[in-house]
Formats: sequence, C-alpha cells, structure tokens
Amino acid sequence: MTRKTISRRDFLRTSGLVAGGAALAACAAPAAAPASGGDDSAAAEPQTISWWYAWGNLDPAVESISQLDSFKAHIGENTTLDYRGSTNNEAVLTALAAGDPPDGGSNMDYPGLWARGVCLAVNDMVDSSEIIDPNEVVDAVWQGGFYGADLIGVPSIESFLWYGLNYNAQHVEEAGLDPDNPPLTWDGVMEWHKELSQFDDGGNVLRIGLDPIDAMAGEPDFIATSYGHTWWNDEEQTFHLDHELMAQGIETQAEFFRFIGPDNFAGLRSVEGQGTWGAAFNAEVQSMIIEGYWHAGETTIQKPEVAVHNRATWAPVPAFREGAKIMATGPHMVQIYRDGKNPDGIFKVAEFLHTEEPLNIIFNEVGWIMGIQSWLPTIDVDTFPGLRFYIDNIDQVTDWIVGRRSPIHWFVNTQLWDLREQVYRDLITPSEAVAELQKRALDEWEAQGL
Amino acid sequence: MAASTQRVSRYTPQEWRNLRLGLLFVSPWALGFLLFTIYPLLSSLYYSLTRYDLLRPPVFLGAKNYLTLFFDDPHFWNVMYNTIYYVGVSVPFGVGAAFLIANILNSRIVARSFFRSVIYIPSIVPAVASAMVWQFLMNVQYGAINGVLRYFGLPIIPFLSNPGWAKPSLILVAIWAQGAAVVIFLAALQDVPRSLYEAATVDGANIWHKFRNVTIPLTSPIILFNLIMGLIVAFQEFTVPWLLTEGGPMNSTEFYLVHLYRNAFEYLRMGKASALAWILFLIIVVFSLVIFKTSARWVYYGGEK
Amino acid sequence: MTTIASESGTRPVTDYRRDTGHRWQTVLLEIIKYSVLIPLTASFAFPLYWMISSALKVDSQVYTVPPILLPFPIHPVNFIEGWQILPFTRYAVNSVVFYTVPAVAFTVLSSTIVAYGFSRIRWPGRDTIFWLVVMTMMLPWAVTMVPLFITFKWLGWLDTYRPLVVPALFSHPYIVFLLRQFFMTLPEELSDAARIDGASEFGILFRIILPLTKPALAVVALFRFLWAWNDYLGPLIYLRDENRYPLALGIEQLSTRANDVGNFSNGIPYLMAVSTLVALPIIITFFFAQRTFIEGISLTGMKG
Repeated sequence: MTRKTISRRDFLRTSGLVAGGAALAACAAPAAAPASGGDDSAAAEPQTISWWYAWGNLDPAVESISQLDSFKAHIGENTTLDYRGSTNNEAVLTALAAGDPPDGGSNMDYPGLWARGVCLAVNDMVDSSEIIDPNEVVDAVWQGGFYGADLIGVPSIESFLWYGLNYNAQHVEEAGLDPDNPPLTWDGVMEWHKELSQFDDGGNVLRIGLDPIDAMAGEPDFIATSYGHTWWNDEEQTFHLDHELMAQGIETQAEFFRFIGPDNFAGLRSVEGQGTWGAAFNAEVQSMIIEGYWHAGETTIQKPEVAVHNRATWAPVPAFREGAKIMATGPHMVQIYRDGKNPDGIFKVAEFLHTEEPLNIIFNEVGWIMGIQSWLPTIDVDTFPGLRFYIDNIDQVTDWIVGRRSPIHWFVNTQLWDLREQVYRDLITPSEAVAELQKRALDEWEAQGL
Repeated sequence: MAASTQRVSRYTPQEWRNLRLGLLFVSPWALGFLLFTIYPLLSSLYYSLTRYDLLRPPVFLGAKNYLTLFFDDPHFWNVMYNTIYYVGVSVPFGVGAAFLIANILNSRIVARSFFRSVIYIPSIVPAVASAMVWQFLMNVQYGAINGVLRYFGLPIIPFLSNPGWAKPSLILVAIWAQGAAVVIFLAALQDVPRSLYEAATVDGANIWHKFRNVTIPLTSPIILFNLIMGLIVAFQEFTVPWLLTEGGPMNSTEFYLVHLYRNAFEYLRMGKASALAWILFLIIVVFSLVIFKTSARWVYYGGEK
Repeated sequence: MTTIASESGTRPVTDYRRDTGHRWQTVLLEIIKYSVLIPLTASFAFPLYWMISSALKVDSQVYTVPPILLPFPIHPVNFIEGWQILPFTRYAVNSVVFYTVPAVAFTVLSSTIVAYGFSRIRWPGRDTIFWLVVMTMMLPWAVTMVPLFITFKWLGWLDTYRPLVVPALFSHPYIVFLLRQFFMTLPEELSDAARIDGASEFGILFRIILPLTKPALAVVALFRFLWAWNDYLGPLIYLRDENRYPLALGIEQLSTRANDVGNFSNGIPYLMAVSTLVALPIIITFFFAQRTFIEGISLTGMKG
C-alpha cells in the first residue's frame, strides 16, 4: 500500500487537470458542504472541538472559516471550534502524555505520533464520508497518508509541491546575472551564490546568496533526492544514510557555508526577523531559497514588495545528474488523537476543509494549496509571483519523492543539522558525518522501541 | 543529641507533649519531604532503569541507560565537557570577582550603597529579561558591542554564534549576575573586627598582608559557602543558555540541564533523563564533598570549631 | 560567624586609613580604587540602561552603526504598544494571582509553622532532623524534576499552576532555615511566660513571635516573591496553554513572535519595553525595601 516514491503518472493526473484549466473545472466542481443538519442530535448538547496546529500564519484563515455559516451548520449549531495555532509538536506530546490532548492536530510529526500509538486510523471515517473523495485528492498526497493499511490522518489544509529554487530577480539583475537563465546544478548555484553574497569592509556579511539549509533544503530528504539517493526505505523500514551520495550532498552544502563563514551564517540567522524558516529571504538578506510552492503565496502576503521579484525554477542537482528534475510532495493532515474527547467533531472539521469555501480562504489568506484535483483549476496561478513554475511544470518532473515518511524523520533531521555543522566547520569529514548519522538513526530507532 | 534515640522510654510527660507538638509543627515539612523529595528521588532511580515516554508503559532496561550514556552516546561527554568548563570557569571567577568587588566596597567609599545597589540589581532582574537584553547586546549584526567595533572598522566578535566564543559569553552573563555573592561577602567583611587590622598595622603589615592574613581567613567560611552554592547553581544553569543559544552553536552551550530538559520534555525520554539527573546528583555530591574536605586546610572557623 | 559581629564600633574607620601611611599614598590608593570601581559599576549598569534606552527607540534607531546611546526623539509609546502585542495584562494577572501571591502566602505560612517547630519547641531529635532540612537545601532540583513531572501528570495537574504552588503548602527548606535563624534569636522567656498564662503554641507563634519577627517575614516573603516572579523553568515545564502563561513565558513568546518577519516592526524596542516593565516591579521593590533585601541576602551567608 505504501510507496516511498510516486511515479510521474501519479502526478500527471493533477497536471492534466491544471493544464486543462477551467473546462475541466466545470465538470468536477468540488463537493459543496451538505445543506445543514444532516445530524439532528447536534442541536442538543453544546460541544467543543479542539484543534491544534503548528503554523501561526494559518490563524486568520481558520478564524474566517470558523465564521462561515456553512461551517457552523456542518459542525452543528451548538458546537464551537477551539483552535490554537503556533502549537508545536512538543506541546502536543506533553498534552498527549498528560492524557488531555486536543481532539486533533496538524503540522505535527505525523508518523512519529502514529508510531507511538496515540492516533486513530481514519479509514472508516473517510469511507463513510459524503464529502471526502479520495479519488479527488492528488494520488501521491493521499497515499502519503497511509502507513501499511492505515490512514493515519485526514490529508487536508495544504498539500502540494515541495521543491523549487526561488530567487529574488532584482538582486540577480543587480549582480549582473541573468534572471531568465537560472542555474540548475549545484555548481551553477554556487556561482550565483558567490556573485549575490555581499560583505562590508570589515568582512562582515550583509547578504547571502543561498543559505543551503534554509527551508526545505535542510532536510535529509532533499539532499538524498538531489543526489539521486533514498535514505529511508519505506517498505523495508531501513536506513541508508551512510552512503557516498549523502556525503557528497553534505559536502556540497558545506561549501556554501565556507564561502560565507560559519559564524557569519549563525550571526545572520540570529538577527530578529531572520532566524526562522524562510525569513531571511523575506528580509532581503538572502537572494535564493529552496522552498515549496507556498513560498510564493506566503511571501506575497507577508512582504509583497519582496514577492514581486520572486521567481522559481528547479531545485539544483549535482552536475552528474544534470537534467534531473526533482520534486517532493506529501500530505499535511488533521490527525485525530485517541484520547481526544470529540473525534467525530474534529473529523467534521477535516472534512469541511475539503470543500470549496475553506480551500479558497486558505489560498487567499495564507497562500496555500490543497491538492484537490477539481479545485486546482479554479485558482489563479498568477496571484502569487513564482507559483506558476510549480503548476506548469508538474509533468516535467523526473524524480519524485513522498517526503518525511520515516517515523524518526525529525530526529534524523536534527542530527543531520548537528553533524553538517561539524562538517562545514571542518571538524569531521562528510564520510564520518554520514556514518555517524546512520549510527544515531539506528540507535534512536531502537531507543524508541520501534 | 545522638543519645536521644536510646532514651525513648525515659521521656517525661512534658517531653512527650513537646515531641507531639514539635512533630505537629514540622509535619508540613515532613509530608513535603516524603512527597516531593524522597518519593521523587526513589522513583527517578527506578525510571532511570527504564525506557519511558509517558505514552506507553515503562519498559525495564536495567543499567542500559547509564551504559549507553557513558559509552555510546554522541552527546553525553560533550555535554559533560561543556558543563565542567562552564562551572570550572564561572564559579571561581564569579566568586573571585564578587570577593574583590566586595573588598573594594568595604573600604572607605563615597556612596557605597549606590555602588552596591547597581552591582546587586542584575542578580534580581528576571533572567528572561536579562537574557533578552544580552542577546541583543551580543548580536553579531546590530548588537551594541559589535556596533562599536564596526564603527571603528574592527572585526566583530561572534559572541553567541561561534562555538569558541559562546561559552565565555555565557560566563560573562553569569558573572554579571553575581551581585548576591557581593552582598554576602560585604556583610561578612563588615563583621571582621577592626582591631585585627589595627594589630596587623602595628606589626608593620602592608595592605596585601592584611588581605592575605586577616581578610581571607576570617571570611573563608563565606567563601566556602559561596563556592558551594555557586557550584550547585552553575551545574544547573538553564534559563540563560536556553534562551540565548538553545545549546548552540554546534552544541557548544548544550549544558547539563539544557540537555536534560531536552531529553525529558522535548523527546519524552523520561528514563534517559532520570539517568542524567542521577549522574548529575552524584557529580554535585562528589564536588561538594571534595570542596568540603579540602576546605579544612583553608577555612578558618574562629574559635567555634 | 555571627558571634564576632558586633565588636567593630570601638574606633572610627578613619584611624585605619591614617595608619597606612603618607597622604599621597592614600590619594593614589583612592584613585586606583575609583578607577576600578567606576568602570566596573558602569559595565554592570550598562545592560539595564541599554534595555531601557532601546525600549524608547524605533527600528531606525536600533540598527545603526555606531549605536545610539541617547535616543532622540524617544518613543515611550513602545511601552503601551509592546504590552498590547500579546495579552500581557493577562500574563501579569496570571503571574500575580495564580503564581506569586499563592506561592508567597503558602510558603510563608507553612514555613513559619515549620520553623517554629524547629526552633521554639524543644523535642527530642529536633536538631538531627533539622539537618535533613539543611541537606534538602542543597539537593539539586534537577533530580526531582522528571519524577515530579510524572507525578503531577498522573494527578492531572499539567497545564495548571498547581505543580508550582501546591508544594509551597509544605514549606520551603531555605525559608524554614532563615526563619529558624530569626526565631532562635528571641529569648526563651517570652514563650515561657505565655505558656504559664495558658497560651497554646499556635497562640504563642501568632500573637507573640510573629509580631516580633515582621522584618524577617518581610525578608522571606520578598525572596519568595522574587523566585516566583522570575521563575522560567517551572512554568516552561508545566504550562502549555498560552492563556495561562506568566510574564516570563510571555516575554519569550514575544521574542519568538518578533522573529516572524512581517508580523510587526519595532520588534526589539517592544521586546526591551516589555522586559523593562517585567523587571520594573523587582527594581522598584528593591528601592523601597533595600534594607530588607540587603539584610536578607546577608543573612543567607551566616551559616558558617
């Protein structure tokens, strides 16, 4: 049932629809929310549905959604949605440990929580849903929600394409480079990196070309995919981190750091407003970033004056793989916790997110896209500069991956950050780093009793 | 006192009454001692022998947590090194600086209480607030210190972003908040009888001799006290490194309690965290005992004992 | 230590200085003294000065080379705007009503009773058991941190202030120690006379001893207030719901929020303004109760 990679064909189904545009959209309008009160008993007891998610920028959209009449009718007139953004995985873990979790959570470590046995499989709920149509969801996204035969959460909110090299065309032009001819290999990106980075007289960095581990590029999936490797075998549940291609990938990223200076990098990140995911690009102290499709929308909403210069192209691959076009996808979900008080309520929320109104609200207010095929053609891809790249080129992808599949993905991720820093500070070799990474992953696997 | 247990049967009614009353009065403490000290101590010993993530029942592992920490953990020895470095530098320097400042303040000084207040206040300001201002001050890009360096065209100091600088920077913050030790020393210095200095002067002693032969011996119990208290606090430093560097860069400020907190409350590794706690407990006991034992040579207890 | 405390007043301090030698030597010494003391004090004061002065700036005054020492114009509105970015009034109420006040009240009450039992009643084994109190003062809190968390989780107390204030009902060893020191200095005859008059021990404690030890109570209350107000790790471990945060966690939250680009400008000035406001009660209390502070902190060292 589970697949670690998806074929081109899987995704072509989406792209065909997008390319086909409005004509197809007319044929397959997304399910409208049911007229109201399918459930007569809903009027009786006042209920609460609690939903925690990690991303604060979703707040305004959720607020708008919770005010919709159709939403109120769907969850029941006497029911209120108690949502809380900026709630990280640790907060959910402790709430779960305390036996008092929310009803559902999103943007969390889904496989990790599933592996600890705290979530409900939602297969039956989805099967009996009148709104969710699995065939409507981009296949790779939907399949990404499965572990074995179990669907570990309801894919929703936003789930689309993850990799692209985004760049600030204004910076590129100022540096005398051609924004219409972006680099596609690491060597090319490195040349841009050197041209785009700026220093003051004291050798202190003012702007960097590419932070090679900002946003999506920091994760093990990205290095592996870029170098044509698979570090986690989903079917056999095995790790393949100690591999020459992983070492090469780390070394490539390390070169970007060495050019700027590791302390300069750390210092730049420690600046208020530049420390977090993607923020340095928005603050215009970084000219390139390897990011998902959401970068276009989020930047437009947060920093429109920067976003107008945004362009996107393929994420880089090494020279020996020139021509390879890599892309990842995977679901975000509403995961339902076993100890929550209102699993049916939170499922209704997840279900509602598959309807047109919330899809549009989330797209317009946050900049996110859910891979629902009948809805995709209805959006204006030029709303956000750079978004078109992702939509138009889906059928060009040569290497697909469904990301973040390992139950200890986030552990491996933190260890990779740790070891990579030792590499770019020249304390260990890349080969030593990947050997150690493999060892730590195996130890953690055992330590978690998996 | 030691003999009292053998006289149980010979208590007078008055003594019985007092025993009952005394126990009644100290019972809140006794109950708290059992609930919040003894029970947690023993249960953490048990948890340290298990794998426990709060979500699934504990699994008994024997000494595995300890063995893994000592022989097969990528972070433990680095954390230990960081912590010993931090304690080994910040405590002697902190206590030493506090002692010297107190000595200056103890001499004839205009506006002594003003100086004392200024030096004391940093130690009572909420650590979160001081962490915020230090993070700002030490920032590579726009911190005040680097701003001045930049202005003069000098290379900046990567206080919190370089693994070599991060520990000394945090030690600097710790020493800045040493005001309480200064006040304690000052009080002790003011208790040193003037007559002793006068006698020393009559014997022709200079300032250094007086400092060495009068001041230090007479305040040595307080030096010992500040050393031990400083040690206990420094071994468990959490708030400032957690907020300033979160253990980085490159784990160079991953101090013991930061690591323990991370394991317990981020990764829910309660078993490993308990093992870490017990190791720390034993280390602190050993360090304190060593200081106590060696203190016999340099601590002067007057005529009392 | 305490025994040698009171003999110093016999001769004026100046004698000692005059004895050390010639006038110019004294002058030189004075110069050295102040040239160490003044820069030292200035560097102790600078971070707090920088906190307050940066609180009065706007972004364009923050990111300058060289840094601006005296901002002009100043922007005191930061104190209001920064406070309103997050519900700091609610955090302040949480800090005071749910944490500081009960923690201080519970600790002082319970510790007073316990300290009385350890000082004003003679019962066999008392001083031996008191050693246990002294030993728990030195117990690293890290050792009990994890099992206490597990216990409080089991009690269903996570995400409440109960783990932080309920233990205060069982006295605090450090405060018991301090209060005992005070109680011991009162003459035994006070209690004896009251006992002859038929007063109960609780009556003696509340009617006779406590009125005489008000300054001591002020000292311990002040310290407990300080610990609760400044506590960061405790709330960090036990509280998850932002609505229940105390100020310490609120500040951290603000600093995280200031890190999200596009949220608001003047992040640093707001952060400094709120930090100043949170530190202010402590600093004001210090200036009003300076003697109590200094006496209290001095006493802690008197156990040699």
